[in-house]
Amino acid sequence: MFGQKSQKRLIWVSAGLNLLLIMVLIGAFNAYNTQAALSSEKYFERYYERRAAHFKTLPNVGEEIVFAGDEWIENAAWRELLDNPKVINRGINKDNTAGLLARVAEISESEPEKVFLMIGSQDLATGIKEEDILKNYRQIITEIAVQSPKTGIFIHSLLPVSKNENLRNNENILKLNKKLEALAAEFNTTYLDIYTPFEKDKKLNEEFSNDGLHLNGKGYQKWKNAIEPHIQEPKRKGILFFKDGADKNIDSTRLSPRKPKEFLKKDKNTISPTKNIEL
Amino acid sequence: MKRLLMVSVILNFILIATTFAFFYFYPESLKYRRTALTAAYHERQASMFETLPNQKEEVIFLGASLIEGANWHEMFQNTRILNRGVAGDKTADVLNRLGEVTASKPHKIFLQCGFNDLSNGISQDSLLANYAQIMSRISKESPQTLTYLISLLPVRYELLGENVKNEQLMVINGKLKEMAEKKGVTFIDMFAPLEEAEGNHQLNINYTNDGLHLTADGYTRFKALLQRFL
Repeated sequence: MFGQKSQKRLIWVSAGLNLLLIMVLIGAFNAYNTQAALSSEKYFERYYERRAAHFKTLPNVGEEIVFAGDEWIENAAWRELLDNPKVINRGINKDNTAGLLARVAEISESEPEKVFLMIGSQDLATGIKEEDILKNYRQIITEIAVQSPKTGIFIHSLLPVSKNENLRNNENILKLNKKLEALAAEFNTTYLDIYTPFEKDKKLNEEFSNDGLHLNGKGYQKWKNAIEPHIQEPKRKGILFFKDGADKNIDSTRLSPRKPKEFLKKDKNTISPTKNIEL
Repeated sequence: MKRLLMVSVILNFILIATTFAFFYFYPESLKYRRTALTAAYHERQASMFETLPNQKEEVIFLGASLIEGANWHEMFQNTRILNRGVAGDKTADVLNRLGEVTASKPHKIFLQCGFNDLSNGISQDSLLANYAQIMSRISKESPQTLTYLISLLPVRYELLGENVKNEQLMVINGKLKEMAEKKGVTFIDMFAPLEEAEGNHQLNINYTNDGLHLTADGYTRFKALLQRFL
């Protein structure tokens, strides 16, 4: 049909077109995905901005029991779940340790009775290094303890997952949980293992989730049952700065959590908390 | 040589078809993925609400992300207030979990939803039909409950885009107001008070950071407007 020469030319044209189309496809695929990721990132940035600012407008009541963290915290109506009017929710969808650190002052400012923390999943998912996660975590705890030394701090483990993700996999989660447990011991606070009760066949028990990550009503019931005793605990379990026995002279039951700032300052000065802590 | 040309030309056709298919279907598939995520979230939250104990004299804030986005009981310092907002919920989704809301025979319900219907291409008529059904079900399942219908809020085009027009939102608000009056339900207009300037129909820039949702200042204004109904 064609001569050798024109056949050769046609092959070049056709092969060139193939190459071009493949490049277009790859480019478009990447562009769409980047756009989707960017718009989702932007969405959650704005969401964080709105929520964090909203929290600042809310009145401090005193003796609060704060649930602070990411969407695992945000998505549950803890006050109703635990049937306790003192419980408030300070969870923000997709928040990470740096995000919580940036807004922890709003939480410690009211000198809450207890703070239940769960954060770090988003850090893992976005490839933040474990040492940075722990550094942020350490600062979060320190800031609460400095601002509000009588607040009981509870550190939740991360939950297992059953969704396949590159970075946020159960191996990394378990590794981080181990470190969180050590962190809790280091600060003499309570570590709450909710990994084990939710684990089945080495991953998240699918009875409690419909996406391999987040919990349904049944899941939150189980979580609630696991931590309820700690909500009832009359006194805080451990005090960071009193670890060396300095608290012996202080009757913690006598002090109302809403003591005047003056006293608080003096209190802090005598114990000089920051000396014990590596920031 | 000839065979090589044939293979390459066939590959040309396949790739051209794939490229067309990609541009046609891929954006849709992203949208589909979002819808699936929203549906899964709805399912989880609805199942969580089911497990919560009923209280006496509840005041329920019912709706989608606008309702979910504020800690109402803290704002109003009223522990009877419960949040039943689920981000992404459409009127049909609210209908779907309405049983949990009316089961406790609440004292009051503040209802605000509908924007997600419009952004998902659901017609104005079925939005309004769902609203009518929500209201008649509330009055049937819990006759003592006082219902407050909160209008749709304006959006801000420069931040959100113009997929949903403020003029359409105003038309729907007009119909909701009519419906509320007919059923003896209180209608609360939040559209006009949150506009940037009278008649400009854009959500005030001080009240939003994405053209749709409310910032802390937006919620503070919202609260002030709601206060007398609580």
